[in-house]
Amino acid sequence: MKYSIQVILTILCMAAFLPKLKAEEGEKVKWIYNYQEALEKACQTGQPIFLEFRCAP
Amino acid sequence: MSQYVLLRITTLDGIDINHFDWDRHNALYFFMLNADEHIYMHYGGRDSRSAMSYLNMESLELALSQGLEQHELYKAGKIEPKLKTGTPIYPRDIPSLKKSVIDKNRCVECHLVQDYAVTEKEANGTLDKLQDMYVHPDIRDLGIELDVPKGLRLAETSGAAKAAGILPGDVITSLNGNGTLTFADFQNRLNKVHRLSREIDLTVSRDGETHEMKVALPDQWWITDLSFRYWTIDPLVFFKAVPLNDAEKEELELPSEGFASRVTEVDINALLEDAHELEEGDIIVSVENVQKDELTQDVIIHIKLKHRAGNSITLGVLREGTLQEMTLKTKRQRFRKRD
Repeated sequence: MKYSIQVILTILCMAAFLPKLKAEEGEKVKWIYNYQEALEKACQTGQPIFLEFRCAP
Repeated sequence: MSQYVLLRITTLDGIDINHFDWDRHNALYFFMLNADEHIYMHYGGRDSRSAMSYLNMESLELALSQGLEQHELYKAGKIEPKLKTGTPIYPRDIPSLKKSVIDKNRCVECHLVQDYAVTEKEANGTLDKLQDMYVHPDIRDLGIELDVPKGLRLAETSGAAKAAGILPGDVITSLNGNGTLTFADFQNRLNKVHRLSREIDLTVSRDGETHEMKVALPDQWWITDLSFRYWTIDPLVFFKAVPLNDAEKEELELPSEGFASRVTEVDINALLEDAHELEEGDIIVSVENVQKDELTQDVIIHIKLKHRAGNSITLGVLREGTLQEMTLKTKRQRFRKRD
């Protein structure tokens, strides 16, 4: 229970963290939720992957 | 971020945890990699102070920029590919995790992978508490205080780092020959250093020049505050004790290198569990007739490293100048109870 509360608090802190990048770029950030799909997209576009492991959806 | 493919993983059941190795007691953690699964860097990590100790907008922007640089170097063939090696390991390959979490359709959270992996190792006798439980030592114990927004630039040095000649403003670029770009890279590399090692090699960049430094590791550099992990290293002993210093030992005519830990607090559970009859002020001088341990002079850490939960242990105890034997019945931490 304590761990869950800690996780939620961290996520809330981070919620103020990542979207700032989005706002600065003025673009909609679109996340992929499938590992293989991301690899395929990176292969097609030649872009690197920014992978986020997030403990809660 | 628009220059990256953005991938968010919220459950680890399809992830090769052999390839993606990190401190899993983090609610958020990041990697930058490419389509070949070559990992450029880790980003994230924390310490006992806060989950946000090393997370910072400016350092993330720096890391994103470094990731793009690494990607260009990779495409130009200037970075040797580090592709996946060995057999992939998935969370379902940890039997107790599969049984308790995956087969019950529960979310495979990152910390569960670490918790069950340790439980599994303990069950099959391969648990190395030094490496597997005293995880991710605090870099501040090496005298390294980072200027967090600037990545691996040092704000201050003290202790071992200062003695090695590392200066504020230096930027750490490798640990034992392995390149580091972020705090998370550094933490990950430090975690792989064997706990009995006495020295690490650090490379730092100073005013555009590269300097190789040897940092002598302090005694017990691997002891870490584990409280945020909700992890207690078994066995539970139901008391607190502090090792005496040399002067105190000399006054009691005890050998300087031997155990002599003064009991400072007795947990109420000692009574409830009938675990021991220690009292505040008792001095523990031996454990199962062992009077010293080259790893530690701390009796409690010695017990945690050398004894399994559930064992009864005989302690040699000085009480009011008289040596007597006492039995300590150890217990297991509740969350690690097997199903």
